[in-house]
Formats: sequence, C-alpha cells, structure tokens
Amino acid sequence: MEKILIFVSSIRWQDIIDIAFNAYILFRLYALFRGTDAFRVLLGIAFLWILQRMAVSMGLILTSWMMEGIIAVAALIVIVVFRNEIRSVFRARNIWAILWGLPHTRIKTPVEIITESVFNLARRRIGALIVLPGKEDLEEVVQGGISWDGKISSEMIESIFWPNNPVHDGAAIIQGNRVLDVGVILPLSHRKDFPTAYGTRHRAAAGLSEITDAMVIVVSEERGTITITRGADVLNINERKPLVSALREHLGIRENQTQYLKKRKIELRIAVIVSLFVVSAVWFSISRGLDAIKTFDIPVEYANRNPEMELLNTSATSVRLFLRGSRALLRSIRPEQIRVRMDLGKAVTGTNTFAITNDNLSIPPGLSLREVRPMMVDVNLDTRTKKSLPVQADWVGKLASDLNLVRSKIIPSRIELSGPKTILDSMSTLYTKSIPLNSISSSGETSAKVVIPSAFLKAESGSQEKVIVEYEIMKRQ
Amino acid sequence: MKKMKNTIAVLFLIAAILSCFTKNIHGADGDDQGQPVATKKPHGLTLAKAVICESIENLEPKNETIIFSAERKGAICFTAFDPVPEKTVIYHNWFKRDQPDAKVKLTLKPPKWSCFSKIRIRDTDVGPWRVEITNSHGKIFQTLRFSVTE
Repeated sequence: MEKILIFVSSIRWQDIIDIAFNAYILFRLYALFRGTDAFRVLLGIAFLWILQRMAVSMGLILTSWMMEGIIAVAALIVIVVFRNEIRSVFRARNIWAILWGLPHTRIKTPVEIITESVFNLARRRIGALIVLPGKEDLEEVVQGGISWDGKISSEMIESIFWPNNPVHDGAAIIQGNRVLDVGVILPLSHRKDFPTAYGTRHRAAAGLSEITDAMVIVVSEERGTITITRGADVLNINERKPLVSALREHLGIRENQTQYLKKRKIELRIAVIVSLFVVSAVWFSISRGLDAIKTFDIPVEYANRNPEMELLNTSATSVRLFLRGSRALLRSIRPEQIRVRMDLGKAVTGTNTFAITNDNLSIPPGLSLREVRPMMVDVNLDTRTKKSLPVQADWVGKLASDLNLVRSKIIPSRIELSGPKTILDSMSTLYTKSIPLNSISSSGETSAKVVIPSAFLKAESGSQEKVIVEYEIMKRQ
Repeated sequence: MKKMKNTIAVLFLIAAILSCFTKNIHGADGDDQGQPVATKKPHGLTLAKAVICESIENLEPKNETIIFSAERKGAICFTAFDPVPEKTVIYHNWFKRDQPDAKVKLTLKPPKWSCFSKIRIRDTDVGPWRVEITNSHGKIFQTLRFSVTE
C-alpha cells in the first residue's frame, strides 16, 4: 500500500498530460483510419513490433533483426501503397473533424432516392453511370468532370443523365447526400471475359471498381438493365431490394441504425480505454522501467555575460553528469538534449566560482541528476580595455661578418590593441614575426606582420597588423 | 702675481674652448631602436646619450648595433647623463621578451656622468631584448631595443 502511495505521489501533472495527450493521438488515429486497409496493415506492423521486442528480450538475434527489417519495409509500403487511402482520410475532413469529429457523424447517403432514380432511368432506357466512392481518393484515377455539388433528389439524378443534358455522357460521383461531380471520365477495364452486350459504360464502371474501392451503378441505354460493379465483381440487378442491400453494404448503413450507433459508441469507448492503457504501458515502461545511471559529458554554456567583460578562461569547459532514470529512457537520450547553462549576469571581474545545481541543468523529463563532476566551476572574467604598445622587430639569422645593423625604425611605431585588461597590463611590447637578416646586405626596408599573442586581443580599427621596418646597415669598423 | 694671472687666464680660455665643443644634447623619455636624439639642454638629470654597443673604448661606445650574435657573448648598454645636478642612482633594466633578466644599479655624479652595464649572452638568449633606463623612482628615461640572433 505504501509503495502504491509513493508511486502515485511521484507522478507529476506533466506525466498525466503526457499520457493523456498521446492516448488521444492514438485514439484519433484509430477513429480516422478504422475500417481502412491501411489500419489493418498498421495493426499488423504493431503486432510485428511486439514480436520483435519479444525476440530481443529472448535473445533471438537473427529474428529480431529480420523483424526490424520487415517493420521498416512495411512502414514504407504502407505509405506508398495506401497513399490514396491516407490522403482521402485527411482530405475528406476539415481540421476540426480530424482533431475531434467522430466517424458516425458522417452524412447519410439517401439509398432509396438513388435506387428509385436508377430504376426510373432504366425504365426510360436512359443510360447512366453513378459512382459511390469508398474510402479511397479517386482524384488520381478519374479525369475531367464538372463540379456539381447539388443535394440528391430523384429528379436531379434523372435530369443529369437526360440525353439532351451536355454532361449526360460521363459519370456522376455521389458522396454523402450530394452529387459532387458530373461528366466524369472513368478508366476503362481491359477484361476480356465481358459479355458482348456490355458497352463502354460497363467497361468504365468495371475499370474504376478494379483499381479502387468505389462501387459503380450502370444503367444500360440499349437494354434498360442495371449492373453494379464492386472490386472485380460485376452484378446484374433486376429488383430494387438487391440494389438497396448492395448500396447499404457499400455505404456501411445498417438496418438497425440506432443499435449500430450504440455499438459504435461502446466500441469507441473501448478504443479510448485501450489507447490510454497502451500509452500508459509504454510511458511506464520508458520512464519507470528498470532504474539505471548513465554519464554524459556536456559542454557548459555561459550566458548573460556583461558585454563589457571578456570571458578569459574557465576551470571546466564541460561537466560530467550522472543521470538516473529508466534504462529505456536513458538509452534514447542524446547529449544534445541536455544543457548545462551558467548565468554570468552577476559575475564580477576576476575569478567567479559557481556551483552546478539543478537550476543550471536542462535535462529531459523523467531523468534526475545523481551527481555532477566537477561540482564547482571557476570562471575568469575581465573588463575590456585598450592599450597602445610599441612594436619591436624580431631579427633572426646572421648578417655578413663585415656588416653591422646600427639602427631601425618601425612605422607605425605603436599599435593600439583592445582586449582583456589583465592580458594587456602584462604586455609592454608587440613583436613582429621573424625578420631574416641573411639576405640583408645594405640599408633598406621590409614589411613584417605583428604577432598578436592572444586570441582575446585584436588590433583596433585603424591600427594595422603589418608594419614597415626601415633599417640602416654600416660597414663594421 | 703676474704668473698667477697668466695661469688663471689660460685656464679660463681652456674652459671657454671646452664649453664651445660641448654638445647641447639630452636624454629623452621614450623608445629608441638605435635612433639619435638631440634637443635643447635642460636643467634636471638628463639622459644625453643611450646606445647599445659591442664594446667601450676610451669611455666611448664602439660599434653601436641593434643585433648581437649569440657568439659575441656580451652586450653593452652605454648611457651618458648631462647634466647630473646631484649624486643619484639610475638603473639599467634588461628584459628578454618582456621577462626581466637583469637590473643594474649605477651611480651618477655631478656635473655629468657616463656609465654602462654589460650582460653576458648565452646561446639560449636568442630573441628580442630591451633595456629600460630608469631613475630610482622607476621613471623611464629611454628604452633601447635590440635582438640576439644565432
């Protein structure tokens, strides 16, 4: 009991939000993709992942590798193969529907009106082609078409296919209770087992059904017959009842809709509970799994330095952190996710000693600091100043034995540097780079670069880092 | 008496001739890499001449230079003060690349005084050197710069 209380008290409000948020994402994925082929394949991938983890825990090296490979390939295949299905899920709904809407709220297609219209058309021998899309997007498959967007009525459907109507030749696409497009051109089937009586309308209907999950109703102009195509099936319809049943089955409309909706609600509640359970299990396995300690060498960041001051040196450029947490969490952490930040806002000139505490650390949630080495960091700061220093030539090599370098003049004789005061105070002269004497035989001049001995120092604007050295050579007495 | 007057006249003449040949030179606070300095004669302790040379002959510097071979084994800093109002001390502070190497205390006596200091050059002394000529309070009269080469 005590252990349970300790465990419950250790859960932070952030953890609850973490679990709830991810559970909701999982539930939304279920709500959006439920019933699609992509969802079934995703379930299969999840099952494979569980198998792979089991193989890892049992030490089945080859099996776990193979599973890992299959999962990676399967994930890629899902995206490629089911791209239309995935796209239609997101395209068919607005952002609110994606984040909040439930599938059972979708608009009901008036099956009876469609059936009545189809039989009226057949009776009058008016050719018609009606497409009822499934879950897949048809945009890449069909061509042409004129946007119609009219609420379904028997008169409207019949008028679309009326012979004198300019759009009567193409197909009409019905989604929900609206006719979306008319005059749409469908891909033709290349099947060779069609009866000779089937014309272009039948081939178009079969062509679309073969490559998508749409259902197409064909009314023959010549014979006044009704045919439906779905998948590879081509079915002749003589009575109303089979057509109504086929439409209801395709559109997912149940006889007892109230009972169905009730069942759906229960199903969704179960989905919510399962999502919460799965995410909680994953969360606890990651954050509250077997305790482990891992060390990270993290560079120390120094922030809020007074711009008037220069950071001369520090006793530590990086610190070693001993972090405690679940093994799974520690394994997934990259050093870039951890930061050690020292605030130099209150630092003064000279050596400042800072203790590294939790306030200086930014570590991923779920981990705690066990130890830090070193515990203290010395930061040496200095104010910036300017100083003008004389330049001296650094002669090297040998002059000819009968020659004497009696004097030299450096232009400019001084260079102004800016940098940390401590460094500049310790300097009294700047030296040129080595100037060789060996090639000198008479008075003349040469140019030489001035050596700036510290990276903290820089020549002030206007001051050159190169000087001219004039020299005077005399014969030795 | 007449003989004594003649002697005084000769001494006065000699003093007058000597004063005509005396250069109005003085030392200057500052930095020198072997360049001559010459201006009006002041009243206080004044550095009249400061050079780095290879040797001293007849109380005068010989072979002024700013380059010393390590083989030469020695470098000399010669300074001449004129006037020297009172007995005082000055220092020749020798630096090898900003690091103090030697500090030589030299006593000056009125009315003018020349003196020098010498350091031994070792093979490890290769590099740029400078000599700061200061008074007892650390005031720099002049800085002389030279190099020791291989």
